[in-house]
Amino acid sequence: MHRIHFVIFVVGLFLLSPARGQDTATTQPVSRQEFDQLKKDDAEVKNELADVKKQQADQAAAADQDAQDNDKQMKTIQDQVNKDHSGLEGFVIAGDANIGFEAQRGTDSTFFADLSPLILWQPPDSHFLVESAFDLGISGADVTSETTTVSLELADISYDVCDYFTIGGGLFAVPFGQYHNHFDPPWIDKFPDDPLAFDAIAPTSEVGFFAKGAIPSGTTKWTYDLYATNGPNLITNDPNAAGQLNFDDFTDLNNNKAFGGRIGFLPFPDMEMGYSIQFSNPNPDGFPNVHAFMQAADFHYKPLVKALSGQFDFSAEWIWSNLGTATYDPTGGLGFGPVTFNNYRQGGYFSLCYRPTELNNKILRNVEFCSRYDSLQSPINSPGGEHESRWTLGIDYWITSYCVVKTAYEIDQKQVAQNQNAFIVQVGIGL
Amino acid sequence: MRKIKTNPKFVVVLAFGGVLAGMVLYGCKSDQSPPAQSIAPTTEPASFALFGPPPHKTGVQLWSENCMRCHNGRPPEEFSASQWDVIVHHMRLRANLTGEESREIVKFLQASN
Repeated sequence: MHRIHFVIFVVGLFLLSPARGQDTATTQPVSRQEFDQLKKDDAEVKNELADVKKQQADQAAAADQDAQDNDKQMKTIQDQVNKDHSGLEGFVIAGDANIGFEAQRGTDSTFFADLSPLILWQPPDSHFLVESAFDLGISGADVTSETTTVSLELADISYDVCDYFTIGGGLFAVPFGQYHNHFDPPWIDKFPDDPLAFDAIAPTSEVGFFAKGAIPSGTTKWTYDLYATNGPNLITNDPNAAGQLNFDDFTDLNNNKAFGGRIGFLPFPDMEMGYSIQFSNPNPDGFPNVHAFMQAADFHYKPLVKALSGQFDFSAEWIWSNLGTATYDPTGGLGFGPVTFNNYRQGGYFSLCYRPTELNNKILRNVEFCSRYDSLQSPINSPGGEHESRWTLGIDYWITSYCVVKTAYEIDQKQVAQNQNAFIVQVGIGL
Repeated sequence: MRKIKTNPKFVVVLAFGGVLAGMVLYGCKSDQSPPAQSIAPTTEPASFALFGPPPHKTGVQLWSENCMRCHNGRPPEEFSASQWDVIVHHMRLRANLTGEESREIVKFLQASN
C-alpha cells in the first residue's frame, strides 16, 4: 500500500513539473547569476521607458510654455501698438448713412443721401465720455435753394457718478419718448422716414444739462432722465408756421429754461414703457407769455414667438403738446393776423413688424414685414393747421445685421391739403 | 385735454426731482455688487419679481436683452476691445444701462472679438 502511494506521488510530481513540455535548452535550471542579470535587464528597460515618458511630458510642457510665451509676446506687441497710438485707443468714429429714392404725389421724385458720423472719445481709465455727431445732407425746397447742409446733432460731455447715475451737459439727444433716442438711425428704424409727430412736435437734441441712470429692482428695471435746456422757440412771425415750436433753434429767446424728464419701466427684458414731460416758456421777448406743456407716452415690445417662427416688434408712442391760447400777428402788420387759436397739438404712431427669424430659409429670415399708422393733428384754424394721418406698409431686407434695404408705400390722408401718397426706397447702414 | 389753469411746472419739477433724488440715493447707496465670480450664473428668469436683488446675468444675456431690444446685434469682431469699451459707454447713456450691465457686456464683446 505504501508503495502504491509512493508511485502516485512520483507520477504526480512529474505531471505538475513546470519544466514539462519545454525545450531542452529552457528546461535547464537558471543560475542565481542569470536570474540577477535578468532582473537587472528588466530594471533597465523600466528606467528607459520612464525616461521616454518624462521626455514626452517635458516636450508637451515646453509646447504649452511656448504657446503662453507667444500669447505674452502678442499682448506686449498689442500694448506697444496701443501706446504708439496714445490718445486714439479711446477714440471711435461710428454713426450711420442712408441713400434712397422718394416719389411723392404732388412733388417731383428725388434721390436723397445723408451721412451722420458719430465721434466718441473716452479718456483712458476715466468715467468721462465725449460725444459729437453731425448730419451731412442735402436740403432745399426747390432748385434755386438746394444746397448741402452740415448740422451739429450732438456735442456733449458726460460723467458716470456711480453705476446708477450719470450727469452731463452740452447739445444732447433729448429723452422725450423713445423714437429719437432708440429707433431713429436708418439702420435701426424699420421705416424710411420719421413718424409725423416726431418731425413736428417732439424735440430731438437741445442744449443744456442732464442727469440719467437706471435702477434694477427684482427682475425689472426702472430708468430715469431729467434735464434742463434752452428749450424750443415759438414761431410767431411766419404766416405758414406761426404757433409751431422750432426745436432746431438752440439759442434761447428768453431767460426761461425748459425742464423735462422721462421715467421708463422694463417689466421684462423685451418690453419697455415710459412717460415723458417737458415744460418751457418758448415765447420770444415782447410776445405774450406762453407756457408749453408737452407729454408723451411710449411702449415697445419685441417678443420672439417660436410658434410663429419669428420675432414681432410692436411700438406705440403718442405726444400731446399744449401751448394754450394766444393771438399771433395781433396788429396785422405781418399780413396774416390777427389769428387767435387754442394751440393744442397731438400725434404719434403705432407700428407692428414681423421677421421670420426662426425659418431655415436664409432669404426669408432676412425679410421683415412692417406696418405703421401715424398721425399729427394741429389746430385747423392755425397757420399751416392740418389733421394728417398715414398708413405705411413696407418690406425690408436685412443684408447684414447693420445694413437694410427698405421699401415702403405710404397712404396719406389730409383734411385740408391734398393727400400725398408716397413710395420710398432707402438703404440704411450703421457705421 | 383739460386746460391747465395753474402753472404746474414747480409741482412736476419737484416730483421729478424727488423721484430722481430717491433713485440716485438708493442707487448709489446700493452700488456694492458682489464679485461676479461668487455668483453662479443663472438662466433666464422665468418669474416676475418687482422687488428684491436683481438676478445675476452673464454678458451675453445682457447683450442679447439690452442691445437687441432696439437693434440687431453687431458682430463682436467688428470693433477692437478698446473700441467696444467706448461704444458700450455711449450705449450706456443712450439705453440707460447700469454700470454693471455695461461692464459685463464689454467683457463679453471683448472676449468674443
